[in-house]
Amino acid sequence: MGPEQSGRVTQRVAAEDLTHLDDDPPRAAIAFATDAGPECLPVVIRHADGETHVGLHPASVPPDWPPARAVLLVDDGRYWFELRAIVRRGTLEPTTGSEPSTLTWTRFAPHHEVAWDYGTLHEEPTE
Amino acid sequence: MTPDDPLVRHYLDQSMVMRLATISARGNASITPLWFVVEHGRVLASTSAATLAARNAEADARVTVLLDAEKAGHSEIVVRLSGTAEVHHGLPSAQVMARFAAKYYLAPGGLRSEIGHARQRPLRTRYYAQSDAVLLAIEPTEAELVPLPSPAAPEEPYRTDQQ
Repeated sequence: MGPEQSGRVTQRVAAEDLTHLDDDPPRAAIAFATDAGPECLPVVIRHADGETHVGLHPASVPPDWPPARAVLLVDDGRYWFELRAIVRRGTLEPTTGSEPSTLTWTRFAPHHEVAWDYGTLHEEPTE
Repeated sequence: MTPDDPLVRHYLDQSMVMRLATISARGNASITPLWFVVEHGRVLASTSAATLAARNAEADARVTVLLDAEKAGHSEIVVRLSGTAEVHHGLPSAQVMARFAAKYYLAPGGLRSEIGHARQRPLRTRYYAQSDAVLLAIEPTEAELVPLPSPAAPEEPYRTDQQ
């Protein structure tokens, strides 16, 4: 390897770098495993008091909702350098004491997240 | 609804990014946004062999896809496709690559984006060279309409302690 050793090129960013996407995602979906295979549904996301809640349309709430584990995706963009997303893996719990709502809300507790923004494509430091 | 329904074809035609759900050999779900094109009724997506989507589809061929038809403007429904995926190692055929280029690089919005990021394109070439490509070929077997939860009316998802 010559002196022009270069680092790995990556699109990865911290989720905190995508606050606007997190607060108002154009697209949001949740995925979880079922006996019949992977399932995914569009959701609305609300962040409040340090908690994340996902809202489903009542007509799309599957039987046995919520599953214990799920993956939450928010993403935006159509073209290569515009593509950005946050993926969070976590657990779901029924929301108690809900006010009357047109949506079915469930608390989502993330325990792992990755985020990317192709517009920031950059070289990682080699050290 | 069948995958060859005209409404499904409309969603396939009007969607730019699909969201692909897969499950691993250990039963963990994953979901990722991917570019795609359609050829002979199959949904084709090119990605890295190292991605969860590719590794999961190799372990368990069952997949689910959400389509928004975002080019057609806001809709109250999305289309969900269920089916199976085959994973083909290597680059897509020239014909499929031409479809991707026409949809994502040569369309007016794509061309503007490419010109605007011309200085980053060499970095992108290096990015692609870091991993092996695979083509996911999805054969849809079922299609459903799924209502979108409305983002228009923000709601409090839980009760606070207010009197």
